[in-house]
Amino acid sequence: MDNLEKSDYNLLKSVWPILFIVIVCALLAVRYSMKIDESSSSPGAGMGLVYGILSLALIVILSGYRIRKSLLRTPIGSLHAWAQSHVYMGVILIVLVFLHSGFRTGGMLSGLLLALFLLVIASGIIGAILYKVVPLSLSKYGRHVMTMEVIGARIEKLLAEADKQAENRSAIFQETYSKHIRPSLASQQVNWGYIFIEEDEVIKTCKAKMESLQQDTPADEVYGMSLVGAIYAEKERLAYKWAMLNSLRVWLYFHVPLTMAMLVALSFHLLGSFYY
Amino acid sequence: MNLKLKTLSGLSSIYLFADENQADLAAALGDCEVSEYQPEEMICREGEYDENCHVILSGMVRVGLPRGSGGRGSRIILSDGEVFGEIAAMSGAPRTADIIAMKPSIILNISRSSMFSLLDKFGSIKKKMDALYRERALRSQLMKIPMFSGVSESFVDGLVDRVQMGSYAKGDVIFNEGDDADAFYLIRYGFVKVSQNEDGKEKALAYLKEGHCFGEMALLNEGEKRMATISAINRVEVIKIAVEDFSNLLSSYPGIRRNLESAAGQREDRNVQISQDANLANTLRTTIEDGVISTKSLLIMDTTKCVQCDTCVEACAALHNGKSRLVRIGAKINSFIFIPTSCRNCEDPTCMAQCPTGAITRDSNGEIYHKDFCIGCGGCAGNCPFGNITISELDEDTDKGIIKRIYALMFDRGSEKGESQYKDLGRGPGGSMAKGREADAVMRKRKKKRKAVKCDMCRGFSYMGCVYNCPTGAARRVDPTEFFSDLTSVG
Repeated sequence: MDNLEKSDYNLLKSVWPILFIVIVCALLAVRYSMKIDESSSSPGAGMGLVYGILSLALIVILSGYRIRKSLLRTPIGSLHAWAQSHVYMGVILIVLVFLHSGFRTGGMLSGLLLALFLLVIASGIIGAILYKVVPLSLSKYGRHVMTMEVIGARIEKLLAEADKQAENRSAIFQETYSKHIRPSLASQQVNWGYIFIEEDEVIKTCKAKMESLQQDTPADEVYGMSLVGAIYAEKERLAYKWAMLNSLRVWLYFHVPLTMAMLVALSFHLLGSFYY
Repeated sequence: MNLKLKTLSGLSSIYLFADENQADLAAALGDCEVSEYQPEEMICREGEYDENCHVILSGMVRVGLPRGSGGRGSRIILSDGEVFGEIAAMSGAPRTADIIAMKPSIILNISRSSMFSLLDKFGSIKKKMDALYRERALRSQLMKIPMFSGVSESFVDGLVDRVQMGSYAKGDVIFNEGDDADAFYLIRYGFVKVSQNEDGKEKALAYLKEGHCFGEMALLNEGEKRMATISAINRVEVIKIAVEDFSNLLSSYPGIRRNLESAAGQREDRNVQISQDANLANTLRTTIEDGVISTKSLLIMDTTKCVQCDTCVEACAALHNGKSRLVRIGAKINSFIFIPTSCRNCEDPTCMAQCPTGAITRDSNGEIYHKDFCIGCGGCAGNCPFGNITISELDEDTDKGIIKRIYALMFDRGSEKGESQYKDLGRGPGGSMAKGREADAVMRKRKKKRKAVKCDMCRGFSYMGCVYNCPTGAARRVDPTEFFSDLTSVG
């Protein structure tokens, strides 16, 4: 029943590449520790230089992922394979860069390059976590898969539906609606807090809020308020999906520009190396 | 070379058609084509899909059966008036043998849908086709059932003459829970649903497919009633073995009774599992209701991996002149499998039923695609029950030469993004024809071409764009009968 009862999403599948990474890193570290003297630990000579060249090669391959993503008609390996090697090579690169630098920050340009590199790596780790967490969170509830465009359009419709439900109701109903529910329904802001919680927590909060509001609602309008509550809950559910999906898009706005900045700094670093 | 049937006469001289009214027959066969073959020309190739049943109007062909296939030897000669390809046409399965012309031959090609309507309309044709099946395939089909593995050939030969054939349309009930048990059934073609009534509601327990058998549980214990309802998911053909023959079989071969009792025990365990596992029960229900089972190839997405980046959609557009055939919205069939809007290459494709030009066709790999001469009438889109065919308008200048295409790629941003070439006019089911008619007048003025657009499994490419370009491995093309095999019943 494996096909139907659980996704083939499985962390164990990553054991072999991770083992490979650990072995490569260990070998590099051992090789480094065997020749740890002033000349060999210099970035511009001996093994330091070799590590630098290897790092450069990996950076070129890692940057190639973005190019592969735009070459949708070119059969140069599946994008999934590219994405996986992007992550695993990125891990090896961390070790290589530190071995190349000899665990020193160096001059101002080298220091800046190292800082940018660390930021790129940090954003990469955040991205890898988001790529695992977001789909899992989104797939837990609901029967329909929606695009961001569909979610946006649906949220707009929900406000109109709720307004219609609130029409021709008592003053207390109208006041409760316009004060406590409508602002949330009309809000275009992304609730970033949602990315740290589960969808059912969002719904529980909605329910609790509606229960307290229903206590102040006239008895003959409790049903009407529950309908508005259902719309409100749906909106928050969609807002949760919206926040989750947006987190992946926003992340790219950090990872890609940081990578570009790092590549610029790297170019200067290379020019400087050749010059001196 | 293809000729229209109208150009020929003399159908009455063909055994299959001899007993029917010739005018009615000519009307029913109106859309069928006639092909001419030269000696040694290949008519059908083993392993390829060809949805036609063939009748030899004149000439001679040889059927080269694969080694070890049993039946009537490795080579069969067929001549005037004889039929071939009827089994593959009915089941939608690939050809099981090469068929090669021996003399100049004229062959009538009866499409799958025309053949089914012939069988429904003309009693004598149905009778003759059943006789043909009994003669050619029934014995080997019975021998293929694991239950018959130890049964003597003479016993099976005796059964071949006595079994009955049955046909059921989509949704027909074969028998109801609580009915008296009258026969044991073997599925020739199609899919059936096994269900039980639970608090007035129907609860699906399993689906069964070609080669599976059912109805034995009530027969094992005399006087027992049917324990489940069996209904046809699509067009179903069954072989019925009468209760007397079945009892005979059990008394002659006690081992079979033991095997069946053990299978019955497994089925009961499974039913308990389904009643306790809401997710599995829900998957089974939606798989049957959404028509997932009776398809050949299904694009699925694992929602626990999909980051909704839409690279699959962009890749589809990039491979198809800027028009994506994939819409990444739809329903999940369980907690993590999602089926986007993309052609499923159905076993029994309703989209192919009423194409006025024959532009929609199935290739030798079983993939359904539109030929270039599609006129965009919207018939296929209207008939597709999953809304997977779109009628789009295509600018006439899409046919521009290579220089213009390069210019467009370099300087025309719209073309590059694929925005200007197509515009959706409607997606089936229903609605498409109406929308199409509305848009027709407008498009004539605009000098646009209308064309049906659907997933063609990236014909001409060595990979499927959506699957190949999914960064997380969430998108996969699967064979539904294999992927959902856990939902079939035991045995």
